[in-house]
Amino acid sequence: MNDRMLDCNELESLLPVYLEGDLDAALSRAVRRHVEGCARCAELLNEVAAIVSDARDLPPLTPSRDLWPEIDARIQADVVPLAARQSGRASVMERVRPRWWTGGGGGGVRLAGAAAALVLATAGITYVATTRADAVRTVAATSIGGGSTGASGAGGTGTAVRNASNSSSEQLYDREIAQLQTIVAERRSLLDSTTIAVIQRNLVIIDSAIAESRAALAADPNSRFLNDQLNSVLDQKVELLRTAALLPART
Amino acid sequence: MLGDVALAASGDRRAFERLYRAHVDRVFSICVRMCGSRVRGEELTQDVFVRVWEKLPTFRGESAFPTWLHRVAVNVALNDRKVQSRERTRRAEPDEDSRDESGALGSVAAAPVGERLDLEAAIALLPPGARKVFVLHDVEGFTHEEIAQEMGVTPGGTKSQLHRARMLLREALSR
Amino acid sequence: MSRTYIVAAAALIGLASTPLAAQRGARSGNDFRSRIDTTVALSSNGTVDLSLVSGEIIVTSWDRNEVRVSATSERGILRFDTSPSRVTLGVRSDRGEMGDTRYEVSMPKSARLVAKSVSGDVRARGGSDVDARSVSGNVDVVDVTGRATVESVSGDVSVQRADGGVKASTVSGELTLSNITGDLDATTVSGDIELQNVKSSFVRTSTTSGDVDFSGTLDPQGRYEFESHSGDIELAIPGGGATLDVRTFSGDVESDFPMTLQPGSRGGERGKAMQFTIGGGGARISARSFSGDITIERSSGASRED
Repeated sequence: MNDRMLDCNELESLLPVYLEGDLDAALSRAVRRHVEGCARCAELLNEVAAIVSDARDLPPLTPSRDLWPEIDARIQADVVPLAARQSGRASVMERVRPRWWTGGGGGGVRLAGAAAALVLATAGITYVATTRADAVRTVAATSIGGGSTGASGAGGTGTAVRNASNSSSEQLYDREIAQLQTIVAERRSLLDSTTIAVIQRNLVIIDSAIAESRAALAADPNSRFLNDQLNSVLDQKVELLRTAALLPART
Repeated sequence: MLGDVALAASGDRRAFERLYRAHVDRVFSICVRMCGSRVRGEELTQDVFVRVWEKLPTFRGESAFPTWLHRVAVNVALNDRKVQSRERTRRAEPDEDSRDESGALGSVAAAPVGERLDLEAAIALLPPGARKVFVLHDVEGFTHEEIAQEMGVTPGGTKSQLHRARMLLREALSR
Repeated sequence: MSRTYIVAAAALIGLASTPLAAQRGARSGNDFRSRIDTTVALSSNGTVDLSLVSGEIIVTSWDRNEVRVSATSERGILRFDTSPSRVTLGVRSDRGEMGDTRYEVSMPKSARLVAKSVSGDVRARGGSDVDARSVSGNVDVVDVTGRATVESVSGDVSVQRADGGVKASTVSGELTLSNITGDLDATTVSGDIELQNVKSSFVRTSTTSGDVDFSGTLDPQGRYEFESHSGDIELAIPGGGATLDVRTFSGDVESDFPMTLQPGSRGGERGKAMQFTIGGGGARISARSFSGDITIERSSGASRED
């Protein structure tokens, strides 16, 4: 019988294979023999085995707060096509995959597959971004006569249409935002998911800032400061969408 | 829960919320341990669930839903390219490349002496390549073949990363 | 068969070629699909143009009119073009993924630099004009004699010591500019903005939810604009002379300087609007937020570190 004797260095290098159970019988015996007679290596083996065992038994961690509201806001913030404004855009739209449109729970604006294609075929599709924050606050704005029309109920469907606003500069913003969102939607598959996630998350931050500004402005329509503030956040939204539209592809 | 998966796949957000509540801790644990930061772990957890929501319609039940969900979590955590600035200043050289055998013993060895680390804290201090392999193998129970495939490296590479992680942890925990 | 673990020397945040980098160069070239190790001439005001998709770009500078390039790519094919006035380094895919790519470049101190990565950090020291961008990586630029432009989407961006002004933006990362001379434009959405030791006549910062921190000297003819939606704004200014226009809808305002309201301040409007002068007026400072707090502190007049 070949009684192989190992030194401590050899044992350390054989250790990972031994712990996997991949050593042949003779080497396994040699490892055990060495460990029986060597306190230092016995300690090494025991400590590493303990780490492996403790790792397996680590209890699950819990987030410091409930993450659901933010997740919920993000899954509803997908761009939802309603009616195309420029007929030239219709063909571009057809290339966007339907998967990107579905979402937003029981709301009336969920389109998929054939239905979407049908809507596309007609001229005049406008993109409207819907967010939950907007839904809640738009209702507040309309009740004070702020000018948004067609807002649906706050809670239920979570969709609100913000297209007809008083100022023409807002319409300009909306148009540019809509065009940029088209481009971002088209390019989505070219970008890595983490970047998409960061952009989406920050769009939600900006959208809720827009909603807050609009609500404040609705209560005080003559405030020059609030008007400037709103234009500022709308600028930020345009900038962010522009950044997203111009991002280099990942391959 | 099978019912909730089908409901959520067809757009029912209440059902998706139930799935979220049932699985968030496990997803969060994977994300935190893989990236070494609770704050980043919370962000990644959100990303995972948003991604799951988008991909749900394509889930055909080839595996159990929790298995599929954890795969998505691992995938999102592995592709997380944002190196935390705290981590950046702590290490001499970022070694995202898991083939990087050398590199800073760095942060684990640099942990303050005399402070007893627990395993969770020690894992967070590992260099990223070693940490990811350790979490996937010893904590989550994936095989070397599975890990190697996800990370785009050889099983030999993951085995040496694993050994390195265990040795670094042993050193950190035995102070 | 025993394995030795090589401990890297603790180098500062990677701006010099580390011993580790040298080891990498010494390792077998079989690990990489393609590699370049060479030195070429470049005029002192030439341009260095580096781009890659995944991986790091590390640039240092020296007095020689030469560019030294050490580049490796796991699975991509490197492309390297040189002329006396321009050096270009890029990578393309053969089939499928490129894997990680890495550039370590030394260039003439006064060269112009363009460095772009999609995922992976960009770090540069030196240059007469630097344009450094990443999408998900961090961008760190140091010691630019002219203008620096730095951009990332989810990474942090920083510039230390630039003499010709800075334009910096990131969406969610942290933005840190220190010891800057010249015009400054800093934008984030949710990342914090930190401006330290700024010596500029024109500063513009804009953020949605990040905090803004500013300290620097003021030019009596200068304009300084700080804008945020919900992030806090904290300005540390010397008592020299300035005219302030501070407005917030629902944030708090605090000031080390007495805020004697000028005639024309709209006190009755909802929210707070204060216009006041310090030390006889001069530099025009405007700080506006929707809900963020605004704090004006008296600084001891920090002088620019040389």
